Amino acid sequence: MGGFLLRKAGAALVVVFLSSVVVFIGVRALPGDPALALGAENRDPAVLAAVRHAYGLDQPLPVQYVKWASRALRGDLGLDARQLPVGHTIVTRIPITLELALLAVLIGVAIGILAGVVAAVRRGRLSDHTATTSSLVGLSVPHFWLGLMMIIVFAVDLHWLPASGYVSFRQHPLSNLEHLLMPALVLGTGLSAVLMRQTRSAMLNSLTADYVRTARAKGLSERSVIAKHALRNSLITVTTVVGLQLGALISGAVITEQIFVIPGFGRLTLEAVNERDYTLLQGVVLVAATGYVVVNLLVDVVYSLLNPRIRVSGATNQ
Amino acid sequence: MSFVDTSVATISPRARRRRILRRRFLRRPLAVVGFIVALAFVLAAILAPVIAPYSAGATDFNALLAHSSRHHLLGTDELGRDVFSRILWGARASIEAGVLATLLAMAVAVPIGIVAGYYRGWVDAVIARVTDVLLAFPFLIVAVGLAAILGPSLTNATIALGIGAAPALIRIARGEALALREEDYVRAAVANGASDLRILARHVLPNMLSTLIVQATVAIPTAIIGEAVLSFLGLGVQPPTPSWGVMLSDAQSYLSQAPRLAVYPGIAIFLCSLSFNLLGDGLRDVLDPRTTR
Amino acid sequence: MSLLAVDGLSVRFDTDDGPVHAVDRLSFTLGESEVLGVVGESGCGKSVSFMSLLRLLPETATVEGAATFDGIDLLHASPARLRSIRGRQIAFVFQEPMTSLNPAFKVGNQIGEVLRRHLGLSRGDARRRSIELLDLVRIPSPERRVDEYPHQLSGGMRQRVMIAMAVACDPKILIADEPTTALDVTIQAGILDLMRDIRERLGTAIVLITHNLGVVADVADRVLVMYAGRKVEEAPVHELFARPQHPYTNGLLGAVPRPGAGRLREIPGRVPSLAELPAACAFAPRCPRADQLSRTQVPDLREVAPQHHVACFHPGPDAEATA
Repeated sequence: MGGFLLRKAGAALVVVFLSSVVVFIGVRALPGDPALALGAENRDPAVLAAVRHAYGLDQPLPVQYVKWASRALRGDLGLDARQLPVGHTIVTRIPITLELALLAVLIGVAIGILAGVVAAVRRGRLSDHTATTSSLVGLSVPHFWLGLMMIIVFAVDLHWLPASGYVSFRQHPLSNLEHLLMPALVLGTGLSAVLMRQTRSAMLNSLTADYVRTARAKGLSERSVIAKHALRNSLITVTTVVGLQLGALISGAVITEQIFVIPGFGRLTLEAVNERDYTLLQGVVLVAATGYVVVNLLVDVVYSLLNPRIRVSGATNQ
Repeated sequence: MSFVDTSVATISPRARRRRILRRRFLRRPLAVVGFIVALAFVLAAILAPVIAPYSAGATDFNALLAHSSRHHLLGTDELGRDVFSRILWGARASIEAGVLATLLAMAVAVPIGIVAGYYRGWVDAVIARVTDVLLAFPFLIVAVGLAAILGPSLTNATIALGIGAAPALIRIARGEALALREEDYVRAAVANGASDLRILARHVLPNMLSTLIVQATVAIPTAIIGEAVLSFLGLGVQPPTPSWGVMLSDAQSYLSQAPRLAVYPGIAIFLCSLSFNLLGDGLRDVLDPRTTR
Repeated sequence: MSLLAVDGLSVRFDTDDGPVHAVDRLSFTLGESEVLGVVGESGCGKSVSFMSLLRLLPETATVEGAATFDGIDLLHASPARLRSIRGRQIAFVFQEPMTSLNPAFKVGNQIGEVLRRHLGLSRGDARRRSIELLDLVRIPSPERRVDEYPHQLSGGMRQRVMIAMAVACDPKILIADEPTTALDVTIQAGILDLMRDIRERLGTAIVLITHNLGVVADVADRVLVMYAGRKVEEAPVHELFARPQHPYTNGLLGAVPRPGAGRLREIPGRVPSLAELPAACAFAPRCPRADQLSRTQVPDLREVAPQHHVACFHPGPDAEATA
């Protein structure tokens, strides 16, 4: 298991490094002269030159990159257009998105895996068809539209839930959940649809596997056969899928936070683009990419724990 | 060691297979429905200039936010534009973006994936790293970034969508090529001295086709929704050109007054997506009898 | 009084392309501590017959006939009853040790499962007993192996684990479905030795399903030959090898490689598809002795010697004796 994780960690580091290069170059490729923006639009060439020198913009690109990267590693991502430290802004906004994402994952996983197992076990019957159709609907619905519809029904018409905004958990736990319920449902729906299909497919494979036949031949109860033998092996496949879906989750969070006006990390991204705040954008994208890689590494850890073939090395004689 | 019998290398007779596939497909009502509805949307998109009762931007200040009537099938929006026509015109932008983005993604991903899967080695390792980097950036952020660099437009949105869809397709193409490379007929071709290009073109690619078709069909709705998202955020189609995403964005301000303005375009996106997904699912069942339904 | 009595067992699968008759009116008995060899080509219905007894077949299968085990009607027993028999009174060892063990759980866990389920042992006791069982099936260092995963064991060892799981609750019958087919020849002998050992030590009756006559000659008391879902010959093992009557049996024996016996004889033709039940001798299309009679009527089982039954219109050894 150690070898597996080390390789994955190594790959992750490479990806983070390459991503940082891409971010760095990407932002440099944006139109507009950063010296102008930083120098408060003063077009005097002497002033521009001074600004460039002060910010190290006249140095060769690789040098600039190294300086930027080393500062980033220490947590210093520069100052945004409002002269606020980017790192600090990000750190305050991330927990909000994390909470939203966590709720969404809980909902998605609970519904998705449960529905998938039921659909596989009761294959061909009504519950299977219902679950499969629902998941297809869940996949085809544009989630931001779902959010809008939910706002119309639950907030505007029924007044059950607030249409937008955010209250922190520490301030008011119930209100916090009220505000996050709809957004989490919206995000979780997509995830549950994908998970349901994957779980169903994996379970159908497991249920026809030889080792399940052995389990039945041993006289084990049907519940034991499904929950212990078949499900365990399906979870291995499902874990990889969850990892892949996390990227979609982050994208989804951007729009969801926009619609429900939640001051999270996703919304920050849009603000950065709309305001052409390149320093902020740079920091945000870097953190997003790094975060994604880290989370996937965690998923790899879970996977290696679930899959004995990875956890313990193979047969000595074969 | 396995002895490869080249005289029985499997290349199935195509016509017979096509007939069997067609029969199997027709036995699945959901897939047929999906096909018909998807076709309807595509036709609507192509024929919009002909069948739309009003042009996309035609305003009628006498009928603002009107309900459905004889003149306006689905009513009008805040500028008096006919909603039904705008949905038809919007179909053009959305479906064009969806299909083109998917084609772009396939054109880029399939060759790269095949090369990675077939040749393995360091080529594969490099491609895998690059794909990972591409995947590390949430698609929306990439699209947003591109829109910032290149300026928001439908073309740029389509490119962004294509790039966003490519990594997953690369993985799939790679997986297929990897598996196919071990097939007997490929080994037979290698043993007979066929050139790499010939093997890839004649043996590997045709046998991946069914998987690729399914993946493409299922990628289209993702791209359509993606375009809607981008336009919704103002990063795709620019007004006054209609697209379903733009219509939804406009509708946000009128949620309490005229919620139906948000409902119609959303349903259009939903039905269009659903039909392609049903079609894709049906194709998948038909083309790969081994998949457990 | 036989331990297991099967009478007129028929199994039919409903497939997309029509019904497939895998087993046609099979009847046999199995006595205590007896080893019955069931021989036939792949697809002749031998595995299906025994899986049907414990209802281990998929839902597309329809089973008819009668099967009595220790006074219990197996085919009509309740699911709960059946589950108490599976693994406890009648145990199965499957063909593919590679895929028949759950890759996600330790070997000891999988053996312990049966012990905990049927004998109510605690985890600690189950683990101890598992180690004893691993020792019984002659796996070296059982205390270490008990905590290992299937992928850490070789094919032969996995098969032994399957056998350990099967005999864990001291069943009356052990059904071994092609236990050595997936293994190297050198390992096969060890497994067969083990089966003999188990019969001697535990007194378990064994059904050894195989397509390999050599395996049967080694271990079985009686042999049952199947073809296309029907029983075509049955005899005590020595009798069968000395005086094979059915042309198929003769063919099988002729196909066994033997030093100095010259060229291997193969049986021409292929196993028939089981879609329709022919109203004739199923072997007729490939039989050198076929005539009008065997092509138009189904031969009944007749006793040609004490305890030796054949379903053939022209029983007798082949002209080219294979002694």
